Amino acid sequence: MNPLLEILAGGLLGGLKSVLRLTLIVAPLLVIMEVAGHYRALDRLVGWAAPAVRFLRLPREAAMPLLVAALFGIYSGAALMADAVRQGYLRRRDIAVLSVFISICHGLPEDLLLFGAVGANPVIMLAVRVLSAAVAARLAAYRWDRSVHLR
Amino acid sequence: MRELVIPVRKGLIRAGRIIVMMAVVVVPVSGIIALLEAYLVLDYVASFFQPVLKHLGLPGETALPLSLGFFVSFYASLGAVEALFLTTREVTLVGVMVLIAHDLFAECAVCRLAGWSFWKPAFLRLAVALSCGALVNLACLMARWGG
Repeated sequence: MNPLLEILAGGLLGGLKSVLRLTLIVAPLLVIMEVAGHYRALDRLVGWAAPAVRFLRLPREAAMPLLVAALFGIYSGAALMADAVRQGYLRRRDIAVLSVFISICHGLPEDLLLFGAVGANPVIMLAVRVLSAAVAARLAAYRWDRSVHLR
Repeated sequence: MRELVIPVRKGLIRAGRIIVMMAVVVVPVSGIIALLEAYLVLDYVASFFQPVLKHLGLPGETALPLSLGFFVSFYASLGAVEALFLTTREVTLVGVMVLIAHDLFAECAVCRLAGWSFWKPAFLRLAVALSCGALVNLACLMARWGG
């Protein structure tokens, strides 16, 4: 066979093997998350998220979008945020601060497991992500509140 | 027990969608990288980016998973990392940066839709990602992990 095709085929096959391995990780994870959602495990976790939300100077209503984004991904979190705005729970300031946090720190279980499967250390990735998100969001809250005071 | 059928099925369907997304991206990326590596293009790219990435403690070829992760897709970066041969420390460092700043185009569009801004998250995330990369690299140097 043409050497170029051989190399390409080898690469594609390697890719397929990778996808298969990643599937074995992603499938159980998503099933577990759906089951947890079925048992409303999230509502209990929202209570635990309260101190985090307070640290970020956000109202209680921000806990759910924050948790959903952190666990399920940015699209789910953004959907909840858009809904919160429409219903009036969160103001522009809250959305801005929450978005800073969420844009850095979202989809944790999936992302960490996937990169963990290719050889990274998930603890380090988790710690760096959460800490940097917290710092950035807290700073954003501070700057927003200060600019309001100075007006 | 029977009540679990619905969530399990929903989970499997969601997993199926993600797997298709991954397959569409990871398989071609792996093929392309195999070709780039065989035809020495990878070495050229690696030596080109080495001077910059040296400051993050990473080999030049990580320019590929990094740029793929930032500007294309998280799964593309994953495929690239799988196709390259990197140490745990290097993969962790790439992971830290890509996890903070990935799918920038798509996700910034979502941020805009949710009521924030498009460019702010882009610059913020890239800046945070690169600084965290530098900081973690420093920590690795101090803890004498790999090199």
